[in-house]
Parts: sequence; structure tokens; C-alpha cells
Amino acid sequence: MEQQIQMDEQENDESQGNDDQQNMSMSSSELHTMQDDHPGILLKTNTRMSITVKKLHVCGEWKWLQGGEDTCGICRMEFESACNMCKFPGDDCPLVLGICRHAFHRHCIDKWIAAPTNQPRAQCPLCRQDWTIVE
Amino acid sequence: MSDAATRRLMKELAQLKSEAPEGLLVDNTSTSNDLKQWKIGVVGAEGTLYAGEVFMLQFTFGPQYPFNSPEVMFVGETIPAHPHIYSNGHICLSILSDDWTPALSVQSVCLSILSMLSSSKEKKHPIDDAIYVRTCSKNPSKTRWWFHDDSV
Ligand SMILES: [Zn+2]
Ligand SMILES: [Zn+2]
Ligand SMILES: [Zn+2]
Repeated sequence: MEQQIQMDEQENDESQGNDDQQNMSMSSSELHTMQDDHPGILLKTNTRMSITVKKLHVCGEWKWLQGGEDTCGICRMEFESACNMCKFPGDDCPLVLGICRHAFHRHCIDKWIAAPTNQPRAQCPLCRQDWTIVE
Repeated sequence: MSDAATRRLMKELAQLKSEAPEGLLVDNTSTSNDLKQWKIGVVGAEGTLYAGEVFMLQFTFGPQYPFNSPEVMFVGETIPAHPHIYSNGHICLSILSDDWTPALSVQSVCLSILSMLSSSKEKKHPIDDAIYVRTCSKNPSKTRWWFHDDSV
């Protein structure tokens, strides 16, 4: 289980990285304060040079680690289709996103939140953080 | 068995059969026709006290699966001697009761139990085994006395 939790945390980190995408272009002075211990960048060669990064554009990529890329971690159905409690594909079965960035069918997560085993506080089934829906 | 529980179990079974992880034995005789009961073989990992030994894990699913945990226990001739496994097959593992979440699965439970076996330093049942086996509930999900000890 420990391994699983670590994976989930990693997943979170990555998803946050994704969020921060727009805020990641730093000024060079910001970078210098980050690297006070090592002014410039140390390369693993005999040659040393000092580089100042003027602009940095970081892109993140993340995917669900559990249940495949586009499946609900609770019912294992694809997000595009309804959850496995909905009888007909046309049934209204929206997705909800938690502040931990995990998404589930609303029917699935609501049922889990109501389950007696999950009291008193509702936790995300994937990362065990308190479950709160992103508004 | 609810339709939803059956549908999820069918997905799990298909995935397990097509790509069973190392150490898990699944075949056409692993599940009852209604999918309510599964028996999965687990093989002790190389370099551990249980290397090469094969044990049988029995899963029993209720209609509320995966919102309720399955009942999981060792069955058959050989029950592994382990500080968290009673000689009647009951297992002390928090994800099987209080820490269950519906994102867990047959596969993740089997792998957790395998890793529990792998980290064992002593082939020994819990010290209260004799009393426990005589007095315990039939339901293995009620087994939850040792969770504070994460060192084993
Ligand atoms: Zn779902
Ligand atoms: Zn639904
Ligand atoms: Zn989460």
C-alpha cells in the first residue's frame, strides 16, 4: 500500500505542475535567488560555464495511474460512458473533479461518500485526501 | 450480487486473465459462475521466506462491492505462517477493513498481501493465534487487531 500512496503523491505533484504551466516563466533574477549556492549551472564535464536562463517554459504531462487513462477509479468504466450503475448510456452521469485533481462519475463518488465504511470524513478513493469538489 | 458489482468484477477478471502480474495465478477455475467467490493463487517471491511456495487466497464479494471491502482469507492445505496471518487463514491488513477504498481491487489486494509476505522476517503466526482462532468471528473482515504495528 505504501508504494501505491507514493505513486499517488507523485501523480499529484505532476498534476500541480500542469496547473502551474502558465506561471512558470521566471525572470532571471528569480532563478538566481533559487540557485544562490551554485551561481550558474554545474555541468558534468571539465568545462564550466555560467548560464543565465532568461525564460523557462515548462510543460507537464500527467495521466491516471490507476484504472487506465480515462476510466473512473471506482467503477472502472470509461469517463465517456456512464458509470456502471446507470442502466442506459443516455442517463445523466456527469464527472466531478476533487481538489486533489482526481475525477470520478458523480454517481460513483456520491455512493462512496455515503458508504458507512467511509465515515466520518469522506476521502478520495485514490489518494485518501479529504474529498472536496472543485467548484 | 448487484449488476454494478458484477460488471466491475467482470472487468477485473478480464484484466487479470489478460495480464496477470508476476506471482498471481489466475485461470478459468478461479471464479464461481456468479463471480461471488474467487480463488487466486499467490506465489512467494524469490529471495523471501516464502520463495516458490504457493498459497490460495479466497475472495468473497458482497452486493455492495466495491463500496464495501471483499472478505479475503487464505484457504487450503497451507496457510502461510506470518505474524499477521492467523492459522485459520484470517489476515490482519488494514486495507481489508478500515482502510478499504473502492479504488482498490483484487489485484491490488493480492499484491499487498504478497508484499506483506515478502517483508516477513519470521515464519510465525501471531502470538494470540490459539485464542483468536477459537473465538474469532467467521467474517475475516473483522480481523483488525494488529494494525498499529506496521513494522512487519
Ligand atoms: Zn464511475
Ligand atoms: Zn451514473
Ligand atoms: Zn484524490
